[in-house]
Amino acid sequence: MVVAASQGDEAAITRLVETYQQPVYNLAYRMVHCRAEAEDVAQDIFLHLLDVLDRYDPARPFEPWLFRVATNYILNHLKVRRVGTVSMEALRRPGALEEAAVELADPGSSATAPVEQSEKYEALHRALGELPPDWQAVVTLHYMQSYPVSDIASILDVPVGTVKNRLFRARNMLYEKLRKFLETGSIR
Amino acid sequence: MECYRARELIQEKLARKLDAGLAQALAGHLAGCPGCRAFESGMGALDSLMSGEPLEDAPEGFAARVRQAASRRRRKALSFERRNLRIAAACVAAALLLVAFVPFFVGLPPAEELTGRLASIAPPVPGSAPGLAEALEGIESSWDSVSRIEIPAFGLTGALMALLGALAAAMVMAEAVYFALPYRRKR
Repeated sequence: MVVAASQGDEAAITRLVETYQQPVYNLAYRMVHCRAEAEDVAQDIFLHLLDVLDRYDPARPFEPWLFRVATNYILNHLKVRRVGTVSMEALRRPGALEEAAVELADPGSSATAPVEQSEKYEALHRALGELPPDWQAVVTLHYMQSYPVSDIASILDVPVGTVKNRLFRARNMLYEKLRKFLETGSIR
Repeated sequence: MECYRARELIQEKLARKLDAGLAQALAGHLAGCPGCRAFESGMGALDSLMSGEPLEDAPEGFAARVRQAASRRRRKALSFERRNLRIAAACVAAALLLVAFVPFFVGLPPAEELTGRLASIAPPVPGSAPGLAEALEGIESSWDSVSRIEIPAFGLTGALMALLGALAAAMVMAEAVYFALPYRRKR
């Protein structure tokens, strides 16, 4: 399928996209934190993938290579265009994230309906969005794809120690940002 | 044990990579440190939250859009390549035509004269092949005699006419190549 897609076979390209669209779209979404932008980025990733498919070594597993291409593409995208949408800018206002966290931790204090699962993830994404892109990549690959640290190191082309360090610091930072509602146990 | 180290171990514990000795030391620290206990609880919640986030489906029609975009890009790239090919073909045609026109304007000696000179330089010897040294000498003196031929001046008018003629012919050839290309016929 991969070889046929690299030769421009439309059916193979469709099969390739259909097979990997969900993980690639989710990787993009969890790093850019905006569905519309994630769709554009995911599409660009596949187009870029078709350009570089001839560099893929069929003797090695395809999926880690795909994630390497996709992650590098997203990191470049984030470098070129920092995620600075209106909502994210609003969130960067001092105290905005903490307010959201308090509201999620204590639904009774708010006039809104009980906390929905999607709102919890929304809060998580807001916090993730404040991490450096390299840390986001590590967290996303670790939790979304359940990749072990060694595989993430290979995908991102960094030492294993760097991945461990980023994961540790990212979790600590997320904990600090979300501690108020994480410690109440309302997430569980 | 310091809290920073304890928090490192808490994360290792979540990843199930903590050996029994360190686990015991951590438990001892946690028993007397409410801050690290809260951290452990919160980190567990964070871990569950991130691990439990379900994958979203890709937007409807995503694969079809990617295929269409890929197809558009391929056509564009092909068109660009063919355009370059047309330009290259036109340049080659222009160069060839220019070379072809030059003799008419510089004026070479008549064919009979050239043939006669060449025949006098290397006369055929019946029954025996000429030696290599003789042949080389023949070629050398032939070149000398040709280079001594007086050539009329290459006039400006002639040069311009050659250039214009070559350009016109090149344009015609380029267009002919353009229309002959298969993708053009498909449109």
